[in-house]
Amino acid sequence: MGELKFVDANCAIGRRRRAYSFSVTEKEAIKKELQRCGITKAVCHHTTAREFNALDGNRILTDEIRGDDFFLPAHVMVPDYAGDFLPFDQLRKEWKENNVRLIKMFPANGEQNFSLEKWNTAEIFSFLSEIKMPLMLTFKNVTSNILHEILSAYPELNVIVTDTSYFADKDLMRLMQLFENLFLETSNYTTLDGIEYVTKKFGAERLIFGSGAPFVATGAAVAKILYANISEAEKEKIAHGNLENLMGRVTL
Amino acid sequence: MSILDRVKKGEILDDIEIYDSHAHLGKWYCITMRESEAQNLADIMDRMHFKRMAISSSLAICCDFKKGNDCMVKALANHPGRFFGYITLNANYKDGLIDEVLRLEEQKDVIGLKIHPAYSGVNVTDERYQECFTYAGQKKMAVLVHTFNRGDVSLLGKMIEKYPDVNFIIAHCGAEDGVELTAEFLKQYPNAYCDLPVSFAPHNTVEYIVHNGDENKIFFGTDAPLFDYRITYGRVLFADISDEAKRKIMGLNFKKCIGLPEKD
Repeated sequence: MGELKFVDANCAIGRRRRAYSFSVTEKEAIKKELQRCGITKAVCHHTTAREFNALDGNRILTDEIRGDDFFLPAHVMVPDYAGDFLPFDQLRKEWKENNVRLIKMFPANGEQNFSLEKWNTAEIFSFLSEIKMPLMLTFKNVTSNILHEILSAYPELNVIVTDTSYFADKDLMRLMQLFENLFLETSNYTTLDGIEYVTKKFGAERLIFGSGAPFVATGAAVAKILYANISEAEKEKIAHGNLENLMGRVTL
Repeated sequence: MSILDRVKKGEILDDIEIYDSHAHLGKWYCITMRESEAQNLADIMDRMHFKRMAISSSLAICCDFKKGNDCMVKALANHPGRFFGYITLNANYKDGLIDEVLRLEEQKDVIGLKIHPAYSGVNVTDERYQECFTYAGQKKMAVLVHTFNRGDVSLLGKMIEKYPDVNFIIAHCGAEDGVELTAEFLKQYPNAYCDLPVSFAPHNTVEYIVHNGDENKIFFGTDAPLFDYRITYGRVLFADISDEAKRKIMGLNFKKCIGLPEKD
């Protein structure tokens, strides 16, 4: 039995508003911990893009990970109708220059504070669908109804939900059944034998490994996949194959 | 080969004594559970090579403590040698907490009391629990108390100090913002212990408690079937601590705390 290759779809670097004396926030410390647990690459956003300003945070991320092959950038996106972000043509250029192949949105109050309703996001989701850019959303920040609306209106938009925790399944499993463009990031999916259930019911193709670092202990995230009662081929898909496939489809 | 190298390959660690100090029996009100009965827990133990599991009844915590305690006792009887049990108490009812302790404490493999202040809405410092704590001290029973923030840990600290003969287990280490105080209490009070289960925990919490608390007073626990048992399993076995500390946390510390012989 060899070591499984892990590529992390979901980590964050940078200082946050709230921290404790044990908190890990800096890039090199997070990288060291991820590598120690067997992760070979990680797609990360910068905490300032989530908790402060998306545009500034994305640029800070670019500067911090420049020349570091371990990290791949995930940019945080907000609507540009207020004129304080970037229009689509500029985004496309910036994402191409920085090899951005995954986008995150944090619409909650206290974060970027905007509506995910159709009237505000239709053009954005059409744009992301056109370039096949996967979108990661925090389940806690989006209602099941909104998620249903997005997935049904944009079947070409691949949506990865994260931070599903222990309360999501009753809605989430129905959404997984209805929409093949919905993927589940595993770091904070805590249901007992949930990995096995989703694999059996919807296929390993619908699960994407994420560490959730540094908010989730990396060993916990990795162990859920390593010790899952599924085939080695299914583990390979979850640990890196599915993410590489989604990111490989992006056309900038 | 180090424990880290072995778990990175997904190896089942059958040479380590693993005692799950914090698990539950039965369903929970808002959490998806397809398998939650005693046999399902025994299957987990077999799969992961856990030696035994200490359970409290979910029904007892969420709703009816007496009916739930009966379920716990039944599970102990039906699966001899697999489980330990905690008697859950809820001070909202006047029908005698100490009577419930006396009714069940002689049952084989009952090891202690469980208090869940958040669900019952009654603080651990409440007068109605005090008689039970005194009795637990006399009978050397452990008391497992749910904590999920610094305030919870702080209140429990008052009981830890007041009842030096009772081994109090700070469940979940106070989650995120109670971790630092939990570590302090482990150092400060000989009768303070903690367990690790939590649905998610940030990087470095296990390492922090080991280095700033006491590696001899930390217990592995899964919270199964509420959460997947591999979460805390991974947190401990991948942690950046010594293999000796991992062996203690995975089972040896808990055995010692509840008075099991070294060769059980």
